[in-house]
Amino acid sequence: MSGPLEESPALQNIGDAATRERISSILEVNLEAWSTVARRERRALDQLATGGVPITTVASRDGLVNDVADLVILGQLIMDTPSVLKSNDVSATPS
Amino acid sequence: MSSLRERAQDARIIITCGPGGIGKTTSAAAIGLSLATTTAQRVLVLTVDPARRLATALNLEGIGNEISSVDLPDALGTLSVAMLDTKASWDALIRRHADSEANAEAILSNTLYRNITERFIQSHDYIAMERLYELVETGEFDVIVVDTPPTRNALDFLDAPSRMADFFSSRLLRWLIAPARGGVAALAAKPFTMVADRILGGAFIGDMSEFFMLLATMYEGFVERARAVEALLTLPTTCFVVVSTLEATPLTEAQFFCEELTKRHLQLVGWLVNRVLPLSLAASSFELDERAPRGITGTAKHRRRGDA
Repeated sequence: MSGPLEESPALQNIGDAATRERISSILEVNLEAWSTVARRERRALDQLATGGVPITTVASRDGLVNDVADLVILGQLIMDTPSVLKSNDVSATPS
Repeated sequence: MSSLRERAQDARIIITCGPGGIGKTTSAAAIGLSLATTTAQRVLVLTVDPARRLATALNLEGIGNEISSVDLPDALGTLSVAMLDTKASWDALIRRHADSEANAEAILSNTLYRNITERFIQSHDYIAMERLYELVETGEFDVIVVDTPPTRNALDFLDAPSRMADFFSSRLLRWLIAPARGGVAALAAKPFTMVADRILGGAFIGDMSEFFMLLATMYEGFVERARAVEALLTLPTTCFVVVSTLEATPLTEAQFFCEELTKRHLQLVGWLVNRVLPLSLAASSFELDERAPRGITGTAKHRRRGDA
């Protein structure tokens, strides 16, 4: 089986075709799960946005920020990510 | 929509507030670092949280009351950090406002003073604001990013200057210093001091009375300063960022704090919501914003369409 997910630039240089297929199927399952969580988070953000205050979202988690370089990246995301105010505004994705 | 950088571009003070344990200190440090690396500004991050991990991340041995510089070779500006040491800051404040060296020493060695400054969280709140004011006044920094205590204490933090000024103007203070002043005042306060003596003990009342008597000599300086610190918070160049996650408990706390900031007419420039998955994942069929990075999620859209 050769699906578009396996052709992703992120996977192209990983292992052989069988390895890529296995990673691809794991990712597919995880994407579904993440998508469910993300939709729930999106509803919460929509609710929060009704207050009219711009919202910046970042994905920083425990253990991800360990040195100055990590802090610089986090700082850039916090300061430069466009804020989100309403449901159909997806611009909060870092560009 | 605009970014936080655009909304806070004229800020001289950026105060991060929110519940505990949601990455507030790290966010404050990241904001400071971003400003220091991308603009030619002298930035200070003032934290109340002695987070060891933050010191390690910034290549510092520790963060204390003294200001430490962070080594940033490629930065356009500079970054310094300091952690608030309540006792040291209170001592400095007393020395500054006391009308004589002898009075300063008398206050600093007073048992009650030591207890108040070391143990009372509200003393911590006031001195944090006081230190902020002091640092602004030095003119050594273009931007100061302040990491506040967790939300439930942060309101005390904001109200501390006003409470301090009110206390110095209050009737309670007059009762407290009456025994040390003697004369008619002591006579009038006698019913109060008799009850207090029985409950708290004579030595304690003596200490307390002496302490507040000495403190009262600094009345004008303290009130003036407390009012100035309070005014600092309402300046248009002082911005607040409420940090939270989307979990129910911290979010409710943060929302409450948000309302309180609005009630106080303080400048809330935005929410910073931490630990959120990329919003593109929430779109149906993994539809992505055009500006989103290409990669695994982008190909998932095609895969799903191909399956359909």
